[in-house]
Amino acid sequence: MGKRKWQTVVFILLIGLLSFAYIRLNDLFFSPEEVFWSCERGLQSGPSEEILLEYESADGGLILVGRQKDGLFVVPVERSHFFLWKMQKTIDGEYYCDGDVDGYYRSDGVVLGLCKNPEITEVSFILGEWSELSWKEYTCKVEDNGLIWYDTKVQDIEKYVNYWEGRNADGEVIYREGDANLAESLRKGNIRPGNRTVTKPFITAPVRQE
Amino acid sequence: MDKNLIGGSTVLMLLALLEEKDCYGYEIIKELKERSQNVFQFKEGTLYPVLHRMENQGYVKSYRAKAESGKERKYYRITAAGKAQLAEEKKQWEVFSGSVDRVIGARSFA
Amino acid sequence: MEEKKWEDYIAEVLSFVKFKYDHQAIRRELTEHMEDLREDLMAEGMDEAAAAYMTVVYMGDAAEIGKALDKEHGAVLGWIWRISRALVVLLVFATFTPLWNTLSSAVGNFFESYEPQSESAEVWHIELDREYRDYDYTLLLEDLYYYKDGTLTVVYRTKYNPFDKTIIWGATMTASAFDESGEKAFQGGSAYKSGGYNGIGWNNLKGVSQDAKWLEIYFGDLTVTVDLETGEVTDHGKT
Repeated sequence: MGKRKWQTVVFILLIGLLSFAYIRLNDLFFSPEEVFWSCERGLQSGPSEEILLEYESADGGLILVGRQKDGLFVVPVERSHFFLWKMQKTIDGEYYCDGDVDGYYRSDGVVLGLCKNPEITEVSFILGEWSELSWKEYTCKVEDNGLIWYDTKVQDIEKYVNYWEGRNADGEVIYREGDANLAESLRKGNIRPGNRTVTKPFITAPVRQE
Repeated sequence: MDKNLIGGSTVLMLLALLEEKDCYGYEIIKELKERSQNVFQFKEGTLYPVLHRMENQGYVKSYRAKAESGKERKYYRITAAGKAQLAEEKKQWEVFSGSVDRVIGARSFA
Repeated sequence: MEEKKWEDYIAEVLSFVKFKYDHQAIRRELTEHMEDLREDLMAEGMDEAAAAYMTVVYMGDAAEIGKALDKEHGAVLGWIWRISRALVVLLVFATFTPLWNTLSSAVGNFFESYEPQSESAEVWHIELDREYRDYDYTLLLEDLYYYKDGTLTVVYRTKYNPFDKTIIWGATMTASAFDESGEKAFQGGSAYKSGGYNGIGWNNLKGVSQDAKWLEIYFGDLTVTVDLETGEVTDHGKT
């Protein structure tokens, strides 16, 4: 075999070896799912029974939601090196779901949750703010696999879910978790949705540093 | 005798020469001329495609080094594969030349 | 004038060789040959111009040589060779830093050892020397030290394969000491963990009472219980 042919064979072997090292040492993967499983194993969590959902986040990237025995495992991933995938700088990781219905607000505006009671077909939740300036109630259907996914279209790191309510097919409330009084007040109109400045002195919302 | 090096039994001659010592192109031509007592008149440039083919086949490898004249030249060295090929071609040549001899011999006695 | 003829001759040869990245080497080899030939012709008594002219004649038909050289300098292999070589260079640069970091930390961590975590005298020492596997991490529980000032230190190492698929987070262990009634028998603590492939770490429980009965060590899904009186170790994996 000629010098050039021989060298080409060696080069191609080296390319294989070095690409492998590069991909592994930089935690790059060929599919979003591989990123998900590798994160989960690395955090000594799960394994998830299945990946329930993949959705495009308003923040950019793809969000993978896995279902664990008692909660969710959520990994945002993004494209890298044209055709590879990697995890985003920070990941949600394991979210333990308490009770029949539980979930959390992501800063991309999506509320993710899990319903463990198959009788519950619809849930309501109240999105609050840490500085307690605004409150709003949302209602959405529970998917057959128990997943709760609702895009509030509000992107604000200040928000959090304050109250959960689960209803069966007949519309009866069979589960409550959180500040039920707040929900009642909201519905009676005592507090206008989007604003609660009744009792507390007005606090200026902190400016988000980007 | 005008010799185009591209065809024929060139490889055998070149390998036999390179088995003795490493050579650069011009050195090879000179040696061949001397040994054939100037019977071969080469198209000298045709040596290089042959050498390069032999390099691609892995019979020789090349390196640059200073010649006796002090100038840098591209030398060719026979490889293990080249030596094996030489032995093979020598055998074929002997079979061939033996047959030719027998044919010529038969005629001369006719 | 003669120089121009040589140039034209070599240019004609090269015009047939499609892989132009080999042109330089061929030009050099042919020129060297022609120089040697001209020198010898002049030594035989030819004047310079005639020798230069005859050199071109002796070299032979440029088209014939060029076409034959083109076969030996295939453009397809030539390009594969060039591209793969460039890729190797690129990848060597790209991989150097992470590879160096991994290797140096693997070697460095290997020689790291435990530094006593208390100034006071050692009361007792249990050699644990147990190895566990949790997900893709290997946990080596090495030693347990108890000092007079109530410091209880668990010395451990974690190992992982830097080339496996798992994304590595610093796998750390935690520990709790309990008394007879099952109440926690320590006041706070601190931990140290070196990074890397074979990093050593230790977990210090402060204010551990002499009467503490057992110690629980947690690592991922793993719980290891050490009876502090008998030194007996029991473990249970995934819950």
